[in-house]
Amino acid sequence: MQNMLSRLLLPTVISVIAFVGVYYWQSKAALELENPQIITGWALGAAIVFLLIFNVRKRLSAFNLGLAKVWFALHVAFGFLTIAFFVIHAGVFWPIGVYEQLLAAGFWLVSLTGVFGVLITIYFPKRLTNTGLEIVYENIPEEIFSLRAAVEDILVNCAKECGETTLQEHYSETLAWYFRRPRFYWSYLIGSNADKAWLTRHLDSVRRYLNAEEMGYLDQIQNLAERKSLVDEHFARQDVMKKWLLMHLPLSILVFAMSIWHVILIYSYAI
Amino acid sequence: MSSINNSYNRPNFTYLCGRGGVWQKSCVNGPNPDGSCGGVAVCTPTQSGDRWSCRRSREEGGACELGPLPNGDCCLTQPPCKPRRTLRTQRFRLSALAAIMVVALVGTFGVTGGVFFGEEPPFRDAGQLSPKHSGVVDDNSCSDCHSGHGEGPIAMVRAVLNPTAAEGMTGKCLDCHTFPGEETSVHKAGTCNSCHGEHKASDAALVKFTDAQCHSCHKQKFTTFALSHPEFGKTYPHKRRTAINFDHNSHINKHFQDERFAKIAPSDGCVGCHNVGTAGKAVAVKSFEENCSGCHQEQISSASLNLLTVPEFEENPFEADTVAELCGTEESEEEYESVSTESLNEIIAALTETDPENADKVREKVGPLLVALAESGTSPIAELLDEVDGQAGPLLAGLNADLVKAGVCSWMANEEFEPMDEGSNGGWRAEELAITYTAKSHSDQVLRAWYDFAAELESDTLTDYLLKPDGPGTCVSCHSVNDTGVVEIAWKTGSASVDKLHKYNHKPHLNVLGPGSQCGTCHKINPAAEYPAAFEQNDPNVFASNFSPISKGTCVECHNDQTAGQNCRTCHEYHENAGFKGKIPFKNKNVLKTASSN
Repeated sequence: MQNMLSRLLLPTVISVIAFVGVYYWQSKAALELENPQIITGWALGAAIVFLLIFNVRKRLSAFNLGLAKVWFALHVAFGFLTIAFFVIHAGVFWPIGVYEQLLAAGFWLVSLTGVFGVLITIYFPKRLTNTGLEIVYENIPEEIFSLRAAVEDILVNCAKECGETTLQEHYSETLAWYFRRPRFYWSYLIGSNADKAWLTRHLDSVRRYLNAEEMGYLDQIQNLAERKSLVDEHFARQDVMKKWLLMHLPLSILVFAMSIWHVILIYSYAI
Repeated sequence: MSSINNSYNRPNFTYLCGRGGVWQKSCVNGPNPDGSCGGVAVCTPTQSGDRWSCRRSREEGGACELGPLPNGDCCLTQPPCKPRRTLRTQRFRLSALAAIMVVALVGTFGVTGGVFFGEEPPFRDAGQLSPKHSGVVDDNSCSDCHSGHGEGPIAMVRAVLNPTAAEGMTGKCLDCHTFPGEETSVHKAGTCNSCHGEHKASDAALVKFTDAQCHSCHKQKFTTFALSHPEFGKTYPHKRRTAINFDHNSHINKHFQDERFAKIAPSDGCVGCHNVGTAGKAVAVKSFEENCSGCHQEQISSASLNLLTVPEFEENPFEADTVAELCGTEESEEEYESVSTESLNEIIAALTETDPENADKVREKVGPLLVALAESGTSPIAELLDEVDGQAGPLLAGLNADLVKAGVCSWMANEEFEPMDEGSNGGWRAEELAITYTAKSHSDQVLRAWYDFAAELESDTLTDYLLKPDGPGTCVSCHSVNDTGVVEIAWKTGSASVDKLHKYNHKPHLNVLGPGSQCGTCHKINPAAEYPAAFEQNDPNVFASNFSPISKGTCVECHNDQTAGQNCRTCHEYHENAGFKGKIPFKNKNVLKTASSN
């Protein structure tokens, strides 16, 4: 968090200077009866293009175009600068005119998803670090498969060694659901303990029917379930960190494309 | 496609193994580039000579015991999965979809909107017009204001590089709006949309002008009107004398107090003469008939216009044959002695350029004129008027040719004409030795035409005769004659304000102060002012107002931080004399309305 804030400091200062400069320039133009919206409009356009370049930079990882973390900090700071430019350009939160309203709706959605992305980019990694587990998002299905396989091996061994099927039956009725795939998605996102409560309830409910030997196997299953819980948290948080871009990026392209038509319209009709 | 050596599915690949999607272990082969499953067989055996070798990876358990089938196929097969696209690919597809959607929508509803939505594409809808303009501009009539509308997408793109829309729009504005004097105004506006914003659905948004914008150019800056606006001029709000020579001081304080006029003098103060119901920049004065006729009606008919007076001839200028031929009158046996002892009147003297004192010249010019009048009625005078660009139509309106002939024949016979009536009804009349015109009422058009003719002709003879307080109709006793390089008679009431860029509306002030009772709050009569003296000469800028000047302090009593507004545009206009060209058709009301200037 501290690093993030320190990285944001310089881009924020640059953004503030840019905003003050543009605001002064457009105010001067307004006082001199020139059209200030030309200035704010092109400043907004330049800011939008800069934000889009961030996505291009990510695709050009082979080239030395600066550190990704610096680009990200610039993207965040300039994102807020873009919102400020939009406000002084449009003058109102919700403009008049069908097309301008669609454009504004697109812009505010991009801004909203952007702010959401910034928040989860700052907050979620910290929570994931606190789990003590490191796992790549793309490896999570295999990890869950491995945990499930491990649990089922334990159950087979338990049946062989103890000659009892209590644990297997309990697994097939309750825990199998848990190990089949990631669970408690929204619970992890909002930070509740629904997963732990569920596990405790279903593990404790069978414990009194087990003998000492079976209890050892249950403890092994509990360890795996607790690891599964961490994997699930990783999945939920990493999934959101990946998928919010499915809204943010297409909406950005949408707004950019709409802005081009907006510029053409303005120059054809009003400037 | 997955890496062969590990199961890490690279995010920049197009597809991921479908088994991972159902929370199974992804196979090492991964999807094929076309998106089909690449993991039906666990390995792809290789041939060495006539022997096939298992190629199952160590991660998968190494070479299997059974080994490849005789035909080289892997012995271990599994059902195919359905590979799924990576998030990166999904983002790309969604982004491409968004771009394509915009292009399609703009193409459908913007560029070629006419195909589906009539003439005006909805994707060019910039918002609702202000009520003022929406009442004039038809629905979907972008081209009424935007000259570039409908020129096609290529022209629209070119406009980005060479924008001319604002100039074109300004031209369209000027189709209806007029700004006389704008060229010489201190405010030389550029394009209209520098200050005026449309498509905001409100009239208020049409003009958004701040005090700061005024102060950006004006050198004399101030914080607020109440605190530091410069004091008004010494004669504020008057820039010149009033059009009508009406002395408020003498009327209110002297004549209206006179018992002889007590019954006809206005009894309810200012509103007795001023029509507050139509108050605007000025509070209009009621008509002559309402305000003045009670005392001044008879004054109008007290002096007649003398069109022609038969002058005294020392010798008979007329041939006896001519008189007999034109008038059927026998020649008199008596020695000629002119029946008239009058001098040539001013109008004929001016039109014939004859010195009334020069008897020979009078005889030479007026004799033939009378003969021509006896022959043709009024046309000889009309011709004389035409020579000096006088309009005979209004000047001689109602003058009967037979009456002229009858009068002239009497005078050619050296006799006085016998008038048919006593002339109490006014109008043209042949008197004993003259043709005269007496105004029938106030606003008499014939007399007005003669006054305007005299002012325009600038003949000393005519000016001295007409443009004087006791002239025909005594018009100039009230209507001022203004010489500002061009001589004009002020026929209408009112006076010019201090500045054309200054605006004031009496109506809201009257509503606050109370009509009729509080005019004196601002307008205080100055008894010491030498108001009438200003009308003894013709320069309207030399004057003394009937009223004391209004000071800034009077306005500040209300226009301050607490009460009424005090921004620049409360009292000042940007444009001088902004107006409209003729009548503006208001589409919604299906009538023609005269749009007043603002």
